[in-house]
Amino acid sequence: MDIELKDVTKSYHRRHRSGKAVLTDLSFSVPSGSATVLTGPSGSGKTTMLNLIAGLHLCESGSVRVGPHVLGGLSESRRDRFRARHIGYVYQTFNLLSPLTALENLTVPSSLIGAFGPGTKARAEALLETLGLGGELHKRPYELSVGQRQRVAVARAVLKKPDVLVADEPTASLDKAAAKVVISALEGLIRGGATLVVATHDPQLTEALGARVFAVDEGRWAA
Amino acid sequence: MIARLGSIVFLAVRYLRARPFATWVSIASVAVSLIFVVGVSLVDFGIKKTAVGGALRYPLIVGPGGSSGISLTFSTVFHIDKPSGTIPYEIYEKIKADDRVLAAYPLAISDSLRSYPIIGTNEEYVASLPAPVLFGSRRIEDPRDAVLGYEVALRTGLDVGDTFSGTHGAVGHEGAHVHDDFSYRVIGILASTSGPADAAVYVPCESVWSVHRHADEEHTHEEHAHEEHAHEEHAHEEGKTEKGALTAVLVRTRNPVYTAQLEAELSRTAGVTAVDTGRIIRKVVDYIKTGENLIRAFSAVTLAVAVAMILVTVLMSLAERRKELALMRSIGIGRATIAAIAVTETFLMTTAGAALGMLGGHVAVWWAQAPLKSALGVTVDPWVWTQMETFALVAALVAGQVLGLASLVWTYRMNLVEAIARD
Repeated sequence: MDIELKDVTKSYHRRHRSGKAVLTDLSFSVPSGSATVLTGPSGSGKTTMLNLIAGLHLCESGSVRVGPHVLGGLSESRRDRFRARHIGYVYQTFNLLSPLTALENLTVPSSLIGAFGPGTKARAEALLETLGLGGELHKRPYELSVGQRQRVAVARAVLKKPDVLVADEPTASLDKAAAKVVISALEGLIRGGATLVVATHDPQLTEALGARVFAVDEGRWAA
Repeated sequence: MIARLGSIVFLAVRYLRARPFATWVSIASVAVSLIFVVGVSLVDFGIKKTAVGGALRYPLIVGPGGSSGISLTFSTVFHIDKPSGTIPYEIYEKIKADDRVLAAYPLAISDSLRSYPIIGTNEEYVASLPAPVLFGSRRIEDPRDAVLGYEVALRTGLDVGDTFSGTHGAVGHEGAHVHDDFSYRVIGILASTSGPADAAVYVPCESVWSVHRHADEEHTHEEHAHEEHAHEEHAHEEGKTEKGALTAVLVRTRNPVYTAQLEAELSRTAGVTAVDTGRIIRKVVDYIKTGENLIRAFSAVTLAVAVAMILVTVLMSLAERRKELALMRSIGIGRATIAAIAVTETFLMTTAGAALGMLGGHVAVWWAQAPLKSALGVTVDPWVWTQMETFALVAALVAGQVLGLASLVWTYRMNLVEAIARD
């Protein structure tokens, strides 16, 4: 799926007061099956762009299109379904479900979005195994290290074979070896035809994905 | 679809298990309120059943003059009050001979066996009791024959063929004495009726008269030595032990009109009181109903508090999990599914509380059967299902659903995406 942001402006409002714009008249497009890396300092608007692509936010002006879906025209429920079917999201803070084990963090959400099939559990186990978590399948998030949680979060996003994967610093908490495994999983997704948009400062990741790089600063493209 | 439902229940259970204290306090609060409702409703049901069922078998009770209707009914039918005097045997003969009377039964209650009253009566009365014979026979032909109620046999361990003596006066009190010169022989044991018949010993009237005639003779011989003991210590009322004296007569009339007529006629007789048991029981049931309404109101408040507690627990838990719920949305789990998880949590807590409360209420009554029997004089069946229980169960489950709806509204109103996006 290709992605297009056109003249997007987004600001956060606090209690009916207008806030500072996080993104201002920003446009860019990502071809289907390619990888794009967003770089820039903290607070520059990278995460907001990822949230717009995932349909978590709507922009105040401009438009966001992912494949045939113009997200501004979708209701909340339809955007839920859109995310369930097409988007994989790797959060910087992992956001695993605390009462579930590593394996269940993959299988239960799959089941809840209706994507759980006969081979899902086996695929989830294999994926966690590939990411070096074969011995941690039945551990809860609080029993895992930061790097292990990061890999579970990646596995959860990869498991559903999304059309678009957005990832916020997916290798930030990993050592080199673990990062290599994660990068390999992301490469696999691209080979499968997925489109990747990644916010990262990791040159190893940027290079490995062969990604186009966009630098953002204060809500605009950096000069 | 089934897999999704399974996952909803699975996740709801996991969230409940993740905060065990709050979960168990919520379940316990519903359970305790239902234990209370079930316990009270079973006791209430037992009292009504005993009162109505026991008393209405005999529409008219005739006893000594000056007795209050309630006291006479309680002493005669439920054996919880002491008889307040006696009436001559001729009254019984006169009533029995009346054409308007279907049956009349003499009662002479005086002594006891380990606090269970020994009731002097006749074969017809024992035959009319609603209890089938468990062992032996119910035909008290010989003055020494005795038929035991189910509970008496159970508590005393007496069996058919065993003998015992009655005690005059309250057991354990100063002045109480055993009539060891006269022993009864158990000829039969009645099956349980869950009513007053379980807690009484039935003997012929003649034996009661005989025992007390003999006792009176002894008293005459030792007049001075026992004077105070006989007349003051244990209410050895004047005339109670005379030949032919009865403490009451139970009467079944041919129709209610005759009951009213006989009540009026007999009440005009000197030294006699006649009471319409139907009227007395209605009065008692009215008293019970007032208490029952109070208890219902109290139960409703208890249940409401329990339900409010669950609501607070669930909403607090949802607020705590705001981030996780937002995360679910961000990975495509819809609001309906998230709401279903919250609703399932409240449903599981209220259902578990209701089930534990229902079971606990019945078990508590089963456990408290003996104390209830001695305190109230009635046997409460712990394993019946009452209307109030149905009401309480439905109320708890409906409240659970209302709570579920509250959770649902909360999850729909919450801006989950903002919660995660601002992180």
